[in-house]
Amino acid sequence: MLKKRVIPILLIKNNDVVKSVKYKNHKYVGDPLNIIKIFNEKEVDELIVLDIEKSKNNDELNYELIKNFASECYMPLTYGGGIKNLKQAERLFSLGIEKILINSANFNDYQLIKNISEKFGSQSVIAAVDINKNLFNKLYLFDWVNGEKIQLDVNIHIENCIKNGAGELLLNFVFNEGTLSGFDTQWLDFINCKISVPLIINGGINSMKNIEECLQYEKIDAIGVGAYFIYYGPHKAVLISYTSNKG
Amino acid sequence: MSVNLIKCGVGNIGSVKNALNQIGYEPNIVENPNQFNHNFKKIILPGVGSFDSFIISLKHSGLFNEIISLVNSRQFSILGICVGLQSFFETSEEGSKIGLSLIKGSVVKIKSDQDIKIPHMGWNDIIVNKENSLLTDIPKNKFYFAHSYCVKPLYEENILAHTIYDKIIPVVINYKNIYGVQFHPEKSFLQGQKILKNFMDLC
Repeated sequence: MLKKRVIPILLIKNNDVVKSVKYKNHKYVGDPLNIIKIFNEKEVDELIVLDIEKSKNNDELNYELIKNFASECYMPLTYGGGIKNLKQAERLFSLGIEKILINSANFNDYQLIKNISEKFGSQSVIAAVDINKNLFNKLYLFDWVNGEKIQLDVNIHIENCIKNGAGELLLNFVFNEGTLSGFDTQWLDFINCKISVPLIINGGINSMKNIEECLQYEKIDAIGVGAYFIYYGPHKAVLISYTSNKG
Repeated sequence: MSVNLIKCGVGNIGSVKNALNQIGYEPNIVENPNQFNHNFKKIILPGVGSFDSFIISLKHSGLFNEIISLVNSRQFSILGICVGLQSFFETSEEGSKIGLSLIKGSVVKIKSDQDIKIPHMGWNDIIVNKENSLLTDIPKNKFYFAHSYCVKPLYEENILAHTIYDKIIPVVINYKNIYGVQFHPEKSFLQGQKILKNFMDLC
């Protein structure tokens, strides 16, 4: 039987692993290679590494670092951050990256999703969708680079991503990210379009019980986990962990 | 002794190379027919991307005919991974090109009467139908899959193992000196490395 996946998500800034709360206040966690080695030893289902600086600064990617990530990973590795064209995607795949994550919602990004999936297959591209909520608890599409609302219905955006060839969907619930306050499957009630590709959710996972609840939820195919695998105890000491008692 | 690792167009050879390094082999990377090391009697053909684009790049580099003749000489064993395996077949529902046609059968879209997610993505169990040295002493039977199409050999005896994703999907294939896996051994921890090692150890 196909096993639902639990996927650590690592954020990279200045070549370090950092962790944020609601996409802000990035705190230093550790050296990425050491952390990837630990996750490799723990045989995680998959790993997602996101360079949060590259998109903001429009920098060229740090291929040397990414190459080192890939050579430490004997499980599937997804990279995201600052990818603007097919040439970069091609280079990432040749370094040993399995999947490329594209985030944001403009026409160029749809085109990039389309180009990557036509050339490398839809299994090689994940569309990340950032979702925030307003004072009235209404969910909206969020532009994390500029920190503002995008005037596009989330469902329409999801449909566009799938239509253009995204092979997987990562829904980030920004308002809960890094808060360790638990993921609530009710947040998925807004979905009224057909999601024909695997769905990864991310934002606030805080316990094994919470992971189990999400795994049992039919719509969810995989769970992204950040803080819960990185921090330990009330003082948030850094301790890389991973669940092993699952199917 | 090492292995000829084919780098073809959109093939993701980085992780296959890393996995081979891990089990003690430095592969000879082959991008055109002149680069084959004929002392190495093994060929690995990894593949990502669509069937047609993969076949086009094989033809473009001149590797298409060279692979057929090396494999038909019976002096080389070949292992196809993912689309590399699919390219061994005659036709694919994903495109209109003719494959290497080393194994009789076709490549078809994963179908189901149920509402299943495509691509078939993640860790799934393989169930062995037929003993073979390629599958000897595998520490775990969970492997990483990421595909929307699957192979359909004409002869069931070519299927060494299958997985179940609502329906039965053939995932380990063998015909004479031709081997193929639908999953990604290079991304399946020690069990994947063991399969690569078993392939390297084949006589």
